[in-house]
Amino acid sequence: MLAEDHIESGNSWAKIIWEDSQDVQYKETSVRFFFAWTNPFDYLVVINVSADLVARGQCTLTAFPGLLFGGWTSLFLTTQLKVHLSGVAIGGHDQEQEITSFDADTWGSLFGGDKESRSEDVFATANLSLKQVLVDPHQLVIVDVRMIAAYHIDNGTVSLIFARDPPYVACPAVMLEILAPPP
Amino acid sequence: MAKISKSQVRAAVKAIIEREQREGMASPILQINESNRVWIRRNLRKHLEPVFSEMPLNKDKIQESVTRHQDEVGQYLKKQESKTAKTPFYIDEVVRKGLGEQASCH
Repeated sequence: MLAEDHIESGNSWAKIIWEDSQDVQYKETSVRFFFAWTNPFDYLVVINVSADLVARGQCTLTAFPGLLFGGWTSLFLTTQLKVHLSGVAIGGHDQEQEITSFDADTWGSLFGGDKESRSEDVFATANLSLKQVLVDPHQLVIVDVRMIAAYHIDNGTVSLIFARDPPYVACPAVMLEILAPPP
Repeated sequence: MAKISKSQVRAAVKAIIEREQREGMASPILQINESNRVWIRRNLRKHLEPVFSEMPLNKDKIQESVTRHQDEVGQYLKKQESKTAKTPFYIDEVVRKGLGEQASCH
């Protein structure tokens, strides 16, 4: 859940606290930053889009032992950049950059399994980019920069805390490079 | 030149979010193998835990359940992406280790 956010040119950030203990085969939660730009020209342009996303926080996974089987929890923390043009999304998973991925796993108590907890401190910057996007005259471009936490829980818990130390999760700016010359 | 308003941007963002909720997000490649592992593990548990709850432990019943589970895994994987092909080896290893330890308890 979003604990706090701040929107400012060159200084946008969000504080995130997310906890889950429900068994789930696959779940995603994400923090997204949207930027808007309109092609001001009367002609089609080609743009390169890039952004830096900074994440600083802690991820903790716990797995509990059952009688026969142990729990297992896994997390994939990734970043992604998408460009939306008139309802069409460009980019996404092919632009994905992993920040971290790990899991917590334990045996069933019959086989000596015990509670297993694993934590990882995250302090990473992802440089995301999408090249050669065609933009029609006066078309609205929405740039969508996000951090995605994808996880599985099988008798365990997931905890994500990006709220203690700045910059938390931040995306200060998006850089647009206009490549096409005027006709 | 018409400048775009905040309300137009908000409407565009809202439309993006609504479209994603309606259509669902594309599954990332990384999810496929992992979520199959979760399914396999749960299925094995579903068959084995009732057997273990009937004491004393009966190894034939366990083996029978494992075989049934493996048949179901085969059927499940046929429906999934070909990328999951290696997953059963992982669970075989878990079962072998589990049965080995169980046998050594007797």
